[in-house]
Amino acid sequence: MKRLFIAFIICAGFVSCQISDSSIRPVDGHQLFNYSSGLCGNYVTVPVELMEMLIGFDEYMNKSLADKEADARFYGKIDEMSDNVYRFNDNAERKIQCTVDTQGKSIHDKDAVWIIAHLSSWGYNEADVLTSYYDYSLPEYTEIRMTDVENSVWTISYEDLFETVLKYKGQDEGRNIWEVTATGKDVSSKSDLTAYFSTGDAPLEVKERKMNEDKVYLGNAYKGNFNVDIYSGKELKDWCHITFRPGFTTKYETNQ
Amino acid sequence: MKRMLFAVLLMGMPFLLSAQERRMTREERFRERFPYRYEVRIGYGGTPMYDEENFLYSGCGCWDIYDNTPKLDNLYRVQDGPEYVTGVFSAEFSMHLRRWFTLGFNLGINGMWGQQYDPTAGIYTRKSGASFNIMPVARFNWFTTSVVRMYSSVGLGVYAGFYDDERECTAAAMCAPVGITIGRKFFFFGETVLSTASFGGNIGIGYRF
Repeated sequence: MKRLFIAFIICAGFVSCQISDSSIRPVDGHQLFNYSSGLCGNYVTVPVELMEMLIGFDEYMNKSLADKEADARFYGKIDEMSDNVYRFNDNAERKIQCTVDTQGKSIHDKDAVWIIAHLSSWGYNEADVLTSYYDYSLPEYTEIRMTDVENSVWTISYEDLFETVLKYKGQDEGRNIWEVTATGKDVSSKSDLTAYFSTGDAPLEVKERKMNEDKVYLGNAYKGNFNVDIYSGKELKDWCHITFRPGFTTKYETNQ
Repeated sequence: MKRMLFAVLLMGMPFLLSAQERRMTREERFRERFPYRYEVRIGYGGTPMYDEENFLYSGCGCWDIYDNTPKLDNLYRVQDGPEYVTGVFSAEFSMHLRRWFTLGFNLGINGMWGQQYDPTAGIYTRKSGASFNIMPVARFNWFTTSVVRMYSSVGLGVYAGFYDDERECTAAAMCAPVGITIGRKFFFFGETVLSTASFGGNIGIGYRF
């Protein structure tokens, strides 16, 4: 009996069990690419789709009542929250929910400044940037400023966080083409890390996303670069450079 | 009337004394077969669910780089690796007060450890902790032979634990619907346990004296 007693104690000493099976995964190239393409989606894709929607909204607001009633995209879907502040969804195509203060101006007016009170964009992105579910937003008081009437240039910005300049280049087979220059940063709230992103030396060319006859989205076609450099203090910690090639797979390089 | 009442009491007295005598005899008979006043036990078992809820799952490694919103804090989120527990080891000192009733004092200990990674600094750190349960246990023995005893028990006490920089102290409770001991001086025991310390079964060995 005493031997059994001792054997029990020895056996119990070796017993343990694993409770959580999470694994540690140091930051790698794939994660850097995911993060960087997410920034591209938030500060390039969303501004393009927002501009597409706001231009459509602006046109709608200037229509006659009869023409408004015939506009299935916006008619009956707009709430006027207060003077010049409108809330609307664009779920049909882009899954954007937006509340904007137009300040009583058309978005095409010289020096027009629209203020975003709320913007969220979500859904599955079939573009060649991201192929997964996304959930983006822009901060309250993000400004949309008409900066060049002749060349149809708007600037979307929020303090020193980001600035996205969008230049309308016309249409190609019914799809709008934009030249986008984006710069900005993503600051960690927990450490001294800061990610600086930019579209590089040349603007990124983005072709509007539309549905085809089979109700399948033709993804935004991107052409150009999107670079992200992550600094820890003043030291470059990680980087990811994405190259978009319309029709070809997106290339990326990282330091990992 | 008073006389009749007195007569009834007199007639009933032998039966009352006899019943008392039978109870005493039963207890004494039990004591003859089971002469132990005290016992000590050590046991092991059960899943420490309370610790999992309090410490391990709360700081789980559910870091999600695929968070749908791109955030630097997600990319460099502090990650928890796999976490382990020893399982609950228990020690108990009991007093056999009656044939049907045993009062025990139970101490349960569970150890926990795991690893954490901070991608910003590139540092792995070890996390560890332990939890303790101290509780009086009332054990009701409902089947007794010279070798086998079966019982049910309940307990109420205090739980205290720590893990990394987290602390927790609260009430603790246990219930063992069915338990069995096999043996005399040295014995094995097994019991089903529902408690804040552990959930499932508890097995071990003990010594009576």
